[in-house]
Formats: sequence, structure tokens, C-alpha cells
Amino acid sequence: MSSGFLKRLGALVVQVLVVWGIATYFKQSLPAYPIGILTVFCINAILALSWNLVAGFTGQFSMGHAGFMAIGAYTSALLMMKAGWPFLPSLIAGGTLSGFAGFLIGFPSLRLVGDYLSVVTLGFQYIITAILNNTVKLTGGGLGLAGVPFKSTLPVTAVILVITMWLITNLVHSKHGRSFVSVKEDEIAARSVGIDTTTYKIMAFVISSFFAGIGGALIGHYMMYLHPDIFNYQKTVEVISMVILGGIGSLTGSIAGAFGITLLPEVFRNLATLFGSWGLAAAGAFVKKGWTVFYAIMFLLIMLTRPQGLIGRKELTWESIGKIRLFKKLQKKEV
Amino acid sequence: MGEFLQQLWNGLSIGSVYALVAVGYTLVFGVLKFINFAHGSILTLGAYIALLIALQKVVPFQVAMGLSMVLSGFFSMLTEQQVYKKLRVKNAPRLNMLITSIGISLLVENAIVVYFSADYHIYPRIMSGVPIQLGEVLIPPVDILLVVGAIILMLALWFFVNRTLTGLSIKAVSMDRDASSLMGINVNRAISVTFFLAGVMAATAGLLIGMKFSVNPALGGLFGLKSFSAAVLGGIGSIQGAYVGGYLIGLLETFGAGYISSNFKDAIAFILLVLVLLFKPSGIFGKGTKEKV
Repeated sequence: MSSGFLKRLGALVVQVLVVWGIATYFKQSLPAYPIGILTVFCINAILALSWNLVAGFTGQFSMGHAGFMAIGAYTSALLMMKAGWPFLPSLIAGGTLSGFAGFLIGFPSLRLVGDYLSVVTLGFQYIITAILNNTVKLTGGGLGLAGVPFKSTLPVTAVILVITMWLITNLVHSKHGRSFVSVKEDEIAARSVGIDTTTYKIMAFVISSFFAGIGGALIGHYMMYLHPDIFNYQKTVEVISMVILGGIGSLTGSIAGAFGITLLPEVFRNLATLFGSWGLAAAGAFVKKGWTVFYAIMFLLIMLTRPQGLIGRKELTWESIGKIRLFKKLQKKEV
Repeated sequence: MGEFLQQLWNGLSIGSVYALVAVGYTLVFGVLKFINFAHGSILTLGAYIALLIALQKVVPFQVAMGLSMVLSGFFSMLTEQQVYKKLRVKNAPRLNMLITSIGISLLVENAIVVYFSADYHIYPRIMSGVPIQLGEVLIPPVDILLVVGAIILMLALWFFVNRTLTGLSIKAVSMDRDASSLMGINVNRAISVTFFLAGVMAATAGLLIGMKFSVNPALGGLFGLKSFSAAVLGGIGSIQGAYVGGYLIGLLETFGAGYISSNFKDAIAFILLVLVLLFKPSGIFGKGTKEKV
């Protein structure tokens, strides 16, 4: 083990402790509503990071993320409920099974060139929905699975987000990470310099599916209820829109995008209440009902005017924040 | 034997719907080389525009359906001219077009949910529901309209593409966009016409589904995806391939559901899609493409 690795491991431990401390403090001092939003944000950020790994870094457009989330969610929930496993092993088992499913679906389809992967993975999601709907004895089928133990508290999800971020950041900055990017930039050129592109695509896909499974499991342990329709096409699009908002290929962008998309329905909900309190009941009802249309329009406008997302492929670091003009002026004044 | 014939008829009638949608994927893939994820939502849009017009109670339902076909065609064309074209002239990566088409499908479906709600909606009945008995086979009258109407439309499209100048320009653009532009073909016009035709076909499929079953805002997702599988099975880019693929998927699905298990009916098309992509990605009628550096 190199000293660089130990240094990074140390940084992880410090980050985990700090985030755990802050999250525990928030959990005790804040009301339930913001805690709920923050928890959902952490889960969404894990999902956005996992999709970004496969789409932003390897350029493989997976549309079956909800299917992997469903596998993780049901595995973890059922292991806890029916087999009596503790939380952490169930969570990891959910992620692992989801990663294995990623291997099964990725092995044949990642050899394909072009956009076919997105269709195959979308089909995979429909197959998972069909399986869940038809295994009534085990999963409750269309009736849903109630009574999933509540485990996704704010400190738990926040710490898992920090660990996910650390693992994925280290991965994309490693030799493997550069191979991922080479697949995205020019697959033929990458192959011609001896990079086994199929292996790297499968590797990225499996890791991405693993984290999607973890994220899905956390959703189940947060909502305490599972239904096959929770993990539908719309859910995948939601995750995709987080990454697009932040910028494809930017990890901190994914987190920012997850924050934006998590806040969006809350902003509209509060706006509706605000309009209502001004006596504009019709406008309030319009905003409350029609916000999904604004959301879709926003999605389209980003693609048309700023397809690289808000941050682009850059990363938000303390240095880059310091470079923003406003902060520069503040620093000069201090001097 | 009776059951076999019944399944055969059922497979043909649902296969007609898949063929109508599949040809739209194939046409658009031909000219722009990308999978139009918004194509399935045009199907939903067509089904709901007819319902919207019918609810005004000004014109009979038959007229509403005709209007819906034309309006959906124009909407499809509008998405191309206002959205995809802007990305095309900027030379944006194909991935961006794919994501944008997801955005359009999101817009259409969310707008329908907001206006109508996410429930199932039933069409006003315009034909008798009493099935016609032909030997041992029971045929609902709507099925006859479905199969005959779809076949007429498919033949019309085939004729248009192969025998008219505009149709031939679509063919030329799908072979080589730059070369056809040098030959004086109005590429933008050909692409717009392609989207219009694809939109009309998809909307017709949506209307036929509405008459046979019921409609809901998520209709386009599953039907679109199965039809895409049909287009790939037949060989994407080939019109007769889309027709054959559509009927094949319809038949395999009905026979699979009838003789194996109806629980996994929806999975059959995708399993087939994966198998085709693995063993013969160019499909039945498609030409293999060479990878150039």
C-alpha cells in the first residue's frame, strides 16, 4: 500500500466522521421536513453518481437504472424481513446482486456499438417489473411490499454518500478510470492502443449497477414500502436529469444536480402554497398540478442551450470556487 | 386447431400495431441515425388528441381521429424542426439527441398526465362489439378495421417512399446525407417529411390501441419499446423489415402467452431483442455496416 493510498484513506475517515457528526447534529436539531429532503438528496446523489460513472465516464447510455435499483431494494428488504439479516449485510447483498445482474445484462449487450445498449437496458427494466409483478408470494407483486424496516436515517445515507463519492472519485482518477474515459472518447483508438474496451465497459457497468442497487435499497428502507412501479422508466429519467443538470462527466456536478432535482418539487409545492396564501388559488393549483411540465421544459432547455450541464465536465473544488469572480473580489479586499 | 387460428388472428392484429410504430423508428433511424425515444410518446399523444377533440363534442369521433393523425404528424415534425434540427446544425454528439428525445417524451407524457390524470381512459364506441364468428375463430369488428387499416396505411407508405419524388429523397438521405445534399436534394425537407410520416403512423397505432383496449399516459413506453424491438428484428432502416418484424413480434408474443405463460408476455419482445442484437445485429433485412476508422 502506497502512502498516497493511506493518505486518501485517512481523508475518507476524516470526511466520514465529520459528515456523521454534522448529520447527527442536524437530525437532532432540525424539524422532520428538511431532514427528509436531505435524506432523499443523499440517496439521489448516490444514484446520480452511479449513473454518471457509466454514462459520463464510459459513454454507455444505460436506461435500465430503475431495474438495478429495484433488485437492490427488494433484495435488501426481503433479506431483512424474511431472513432476519442485519441492515448492513442486506444492503451490501442488495448491491452485489444488482451488480451481478449488471454483469449478466452487460456481458452480451456491451459488446454492441451504438445506442442499442440503452434499449436493451430499458427492456431489462421492463423484465424486472414483470418478474416483480409475478412473484406475488415473495415480493407482494402489484400489492406492494409493506413493512420494510426504516434504516435510511440522515447520518446513514450521508455516510454512504461520502463513501460512494470517495470510491468513485478514486476509481475515475486511477489507471482504470482513464481507460473508462478512453472508451468514451474514441473506442477504436482505445482498442488500437491495447485497452480491452469491453472489459472496461463491463467493469464500469457492474460498479454502476452495484451502487444503483445500494441506492435502491436505501429508498426502500426510507419509504418503508416497495412497489414495482416505484422503479419505472420515470425513475431512470429522474436520475438522468440530475446528471444532466449538473453536467455529464462531473462527479460534483452530479451531487449538485441531485440537490437541484430533489429540491425542485419542494420549491414548486411551496410556491403553490405561497400563491394560495396571496389569494391566487387558481395559480397555486396550476403550479401544483403542472410543475412536472415545467420540469420537462427545463430538461429540454438545458439540452438545447447548455448540453454540458451547469458545471460541465469540470469539478467543483475549493480552488475553483475561489476562482469565481465574486469571491476573488472579496479576497482582494481582505488583502 | 381452433385455438391455434384464434391465436394467429390475435397475433396478426397486435402485430399490425407494432408494425405501424416500428416503421416510424426505422424511418427516423434511416435519416438521422438515432433512436427517437419520443416516438412512443407520439403514439400516446395521438391517442389523447382524439380523446381531447371528442370531449368537445363538436365533431364525430371518426373526424376527431382523422384530425388527431394529422396533428400528431405535425407535432412530430415540429419536434424535429424546433429541437433536433438545432442540435443537428450544432453538430452535437448523438448522445445529446438521445437525451433530448427523452426530454420530449417526458414533456408529452407529463402534459397528458396533468391534463387528463394518469388513469386509464376509454374511447367512445363507434363499432359494434359483437364478435363475428368465422369457423372456430371469433373476430371483434374492431380487429378487422385494425388489420385492414394498418395494411392499407403500410402499403400507402411503401408506395410513397418508393414511387414518389419526395419519398425517394427520403431514401437518398438515409443512404448518404451529404451526397444527397450535393445532388440538390432538400435534406431538411426530406427529414421533416420523414418525421411527419412517422408521427402519422404512430398516432394511428395509438388510435387503434385505444379502440381495441384503453389508453393511459404510459402507453407509449411499452408499445414503443416492443415496436423498437420489432424494427431491430426486421433490420433497422428497412421498411419491409419493420413490417415483418412487427408481425413476428406480435405472433411470437401471442403464441408465447397462449402456449407458455401469459405472465411474462411483455418480456418476450426484449429477450428476442437481446438475441437478435447478439447473433445478427443487422436483423432480417438489414445490411451489415462496416466500422470505419
